[in-house]
Order: sequence, then structure tokens, then C-alpha cells
Amino acid sequence: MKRLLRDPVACLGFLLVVFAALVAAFAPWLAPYPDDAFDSHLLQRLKPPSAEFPFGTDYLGRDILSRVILGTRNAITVAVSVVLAAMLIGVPMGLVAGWRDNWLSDVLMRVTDVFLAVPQLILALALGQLMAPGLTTAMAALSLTYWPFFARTVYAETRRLRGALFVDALAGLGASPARILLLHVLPNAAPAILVRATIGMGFTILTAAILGFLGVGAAPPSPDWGLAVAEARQHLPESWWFATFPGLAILLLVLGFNLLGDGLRDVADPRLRRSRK
Amino acid sequence: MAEMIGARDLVVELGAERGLFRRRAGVRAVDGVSLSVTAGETFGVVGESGCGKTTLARTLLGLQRESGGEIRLENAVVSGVAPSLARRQRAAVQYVHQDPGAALDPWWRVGATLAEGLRIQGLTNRTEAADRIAETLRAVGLDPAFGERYPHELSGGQQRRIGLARILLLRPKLVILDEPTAGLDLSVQAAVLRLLRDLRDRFGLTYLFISHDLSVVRRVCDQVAVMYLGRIVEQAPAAELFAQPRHPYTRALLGAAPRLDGKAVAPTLRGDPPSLRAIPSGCRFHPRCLHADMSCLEREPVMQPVAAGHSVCCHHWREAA
Repeated sequence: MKRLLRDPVACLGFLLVVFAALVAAFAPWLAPYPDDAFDSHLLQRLKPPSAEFPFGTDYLGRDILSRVILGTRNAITVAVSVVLAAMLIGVPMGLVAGWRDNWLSDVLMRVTDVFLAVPQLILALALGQLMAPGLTTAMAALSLTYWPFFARTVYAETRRLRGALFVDALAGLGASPARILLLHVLPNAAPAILVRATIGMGFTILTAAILGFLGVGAAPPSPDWGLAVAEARQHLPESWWFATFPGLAILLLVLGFNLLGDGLRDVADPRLRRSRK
Repeated sequence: MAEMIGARDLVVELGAERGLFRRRAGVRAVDGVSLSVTAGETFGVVGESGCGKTTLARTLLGLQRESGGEIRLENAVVSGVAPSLARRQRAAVQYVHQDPGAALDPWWRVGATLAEGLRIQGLTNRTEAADRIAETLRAVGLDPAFGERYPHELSGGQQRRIGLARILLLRPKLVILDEPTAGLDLSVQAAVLRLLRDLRDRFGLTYLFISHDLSVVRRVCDQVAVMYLGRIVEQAPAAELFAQPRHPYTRALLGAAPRLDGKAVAPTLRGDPPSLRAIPSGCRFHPRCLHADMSCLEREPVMQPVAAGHSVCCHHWREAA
């Protein structure tokens, strides 16, 4: 942790993420017009930024600042639940596949490879067509395409750790594989999983925004950032503020997660640690 | 004297793969080893790196399944079962790793690691576990407060003591010590050896002592077996083996130990040990042996008695002596 704080770039990422988390937690109290998530005021539509509306208003007269703030919660919820769901699938698979070299391990990793080969957006679009398009569909699709990254990371870590002497010593004491995997291999693989999860958050937010933009993600009138950018398309370039501020929010949050993930990786990987000095 | 552990014609094949898409034959790391360890003694196994010492230990322990032969533990046959069952059956046998620091989970406090062994054996009472841990830590010469430390906060000697405490907690009868003095400086080495002797007397342990440090083996072992490429080539009481080595390999090993006066006592070994994938025909030592002739190349020698308790696996031990 201390080493992370000494890295200014990672620090910036950390601050961005913490700031976004705070905004998400207190969104209804921070937003100047919390009702603007759903209420429309057609008389004040597409007003440029002013003291009253610092980010301007959108095509239904809603305050963009309020909607960006309210959208933070959406973005973070999507990111966290997708990454958690992906971890729930990927981590156990990686542990099981990495522990022994047998047919089960082969099957699991080939399945992982197949899922890895499916482009995220295409699967999400297909699922959106099959099921009702909406946030849940988008989240399901993202989880289904992101878990192979966790499976691979955990697989590699498990393979590395199963040869470690302390695992051998535990087997020598008669510890069961479940005990070794859950209590010893998993904690030792935690840094790698954490790094993967952090980078995955940024990635998920970006992909969720793209899905929103394509109309397969969040549905109006939800204050989704990607959706807002999509709606703003018809009012460009005159109403530049409509697309700019939600887009900027996406950019900053994704940047924050990526910088933090990079920083964490540097801390977790001792080989990179040395080369950085 | 009662036998603690014994093996007959033990064969261990390593690296045989049977995956969905892969199939590969293994190498014989242990190839027909017979030995018998008497209760209460310290039995030394010496040999160059890669001669199968550690594989032998892991097989006796039950971590590695034997491909052939028989293992006896306290006169009961315990071989021929799957590793998961074998470990439970052979709880009286415990193993101390070569590098006890790396054998501790870096994320766990030492005390938690010690308690875990007890929990695996089914002791769930926390206060009883804590009492036994404190008692055992004192027995290996450490303050019970060491339980609060992480492995990287310990010195090499302390890590070794923790490694011993970890298995002593489980009340073993036979302890396999894999290079217990490797990487320690001489004063710590002496302290560890003293501790090992005290513990043996106090807990009635039998040791299987794996090492390539002949000076240490000479000091602590009662019986010594010399291994070469997965075979035992000579076995004798320690005093006799060091006084009258019969096998050319044993003699070369003893001669290879550096001496302060610079005089060589025996011809040194030529070359490196051959790969286990290409074991020489006949006597497997013949390419490096000074006494080798055609018979060594063609016929494999068998163990022959030299004196009481002393046997050697060589065609020419009489001439060579």
C-alpha cells in the first residue's frame, strides 16, 4: 500500500476511483436536481452551461450535472457486479484446472479458450436480441465474456503455487486439496486477482457504455453515461456540452481504474518493481 | 531391534503423463531400493544431487506413489494405495523440508501454520492446541511468542526450528530430514544437530537423514546408505563405512570431500552423473569407475555382504579394496 502511494500515477488513479465511489454513494444528495433522472422540463432544453446548470441541460431539459452524478452509481454497480460474477465463475474454474494436469483441466481450459475467442460486443448484441435489451442483459453478457480472464489468471497462479514448497509441505501434513486451494493458494493468488479485477472494472465500464450507446444496455430514461452520449449524437455539434460531460465522466473513471490497476500490478510483481526504480 | 520402516525392491517412476492429449513415459528415479530402518536409529542416505534421495523420501512418506515394490511401516505393509489414503495411513511418518522457510505459507503467521497441522489431524480444541504449540516451541528452543511472527521475520535457524516444531506437534515416530543443515553456517548447523539429537532422545524418534554433507552424516548417523542413480550401492554402519568404504563410488565421494592439508585420499570422480533417461548398461557406475572392465559393462552387480551389516553392490570390491 505504501509503495502504491509513492507512485504518483497510481495515486491519481486511486483518487479518481475513490472520488467516483463517494459520488456514487451520495449521488441523491450531491445532485443539484435529483429528480432530473426522470422528470423532463421541455422549456429549458439544450441550455449551454451556466451558473444554474454548470454542465448545461439535455434535449429534455434535464440538468446534465445531476444526470452525470446519478449515472456514476449505475456505472459502478454494473462494473462491480459484472466483475464479481466473472470472478465467481472464473476463479473456481482456474483453481480446479490449475491444480492437476488431467482431462478435467484440459476440458476447462479449452472451454475457457472458446469463450475467450468470442468478441464481447458481438455476444452482448446477440444476447440483447435474444433476451429483452436492457441493463441486466448487458451485464449478463459482460460477465459471460469476462470470466475467462479470471480463469486464466487464477490457472496460471495455481500452477505456479502448486509447485511451491509450502503447498508440498501441506500435502505432506495430509491437508486436503480443498483446504490447500481455498486457504493457501487463493490468498497467495489474491494480488493477481485484485489487479485483474481492477483493470476489469475500467474495461467493463467502457464496454457497458458502448452497449448503452448501441442501445443494448441501459434504456431511457435511465441516467446512463453511454446512453446520454448516444442521445446527444443528434444534437452535435451545436450542443457540445450534452455529449462532452457524460463522455468525460466515462473517460475519467476508466482512466482511474486503469491507472490504479497498472499501479497495483507494479506493486504485486516484484520483477517489474525492480525495473521501475 | 524392531524395524520402523522398510522397503523391498522399491521402484518409483516420475514424470509419466497421462493427459487427454499427452502421453509420456517417465524416468525411474528410484530403481529397486531395499532398506530397513531400525527404531531409534539415525539412518543416513547420501548421494549426489539427482540420485533419487528426495524421491525415495517422498515415496516412503506417501506423497509419491511407488510403481513397484513394497513399503513396510512397523511391520505392516502400507504400499500400493493412493497418495491421499497413504498419507493418512502413514501419519507416524513426517517430513522436514530442505528449505523450511519456503515450506511456510508466507501469508500465514507461524502460529496459525502450526495450529493448522493439528486441525488437519482432527484436534479442534483451541486452548489445547495453543498449549501444545507453546510446549513444542519451547521444546525446539523458541519462545512461544514466535507464533505471532510471519515466516520472513525469522532467521534460517529459526525457520528450521519452526519446521521441526510443525511436525513434532503431530507426534511422529519417524522423521525424514531432507538436508537439515543445508545453507546454515557452522555454528547454527551445530546447534540444529544438537537439537535434533535432544529431540530424538526426548520424543523417541527415528530419523531418516538425507544429506550430501558427509561430515554431518558421519557425526550423526548410525547407519548409512549410499545412493547412485536410484540404487543403493553400499550400506554399512556409519563408523565402518567411513573407515572402510568398499564401493568405488563411496570411496570417490569420501575423497571428494575437501581436506585442509590439500592431499587427496582417493581418486576423484570423473564427469557428471549420467541422465536418468539414459542409464548405462550393466553396472550403472561403470562409465565413471576406475575399476570397470567388460563384466561391469555387461552384468549388473547385486548386493553382496562384506561384513556384518555391511553390503556392497560391485563386482570388484575385493580387488578395489
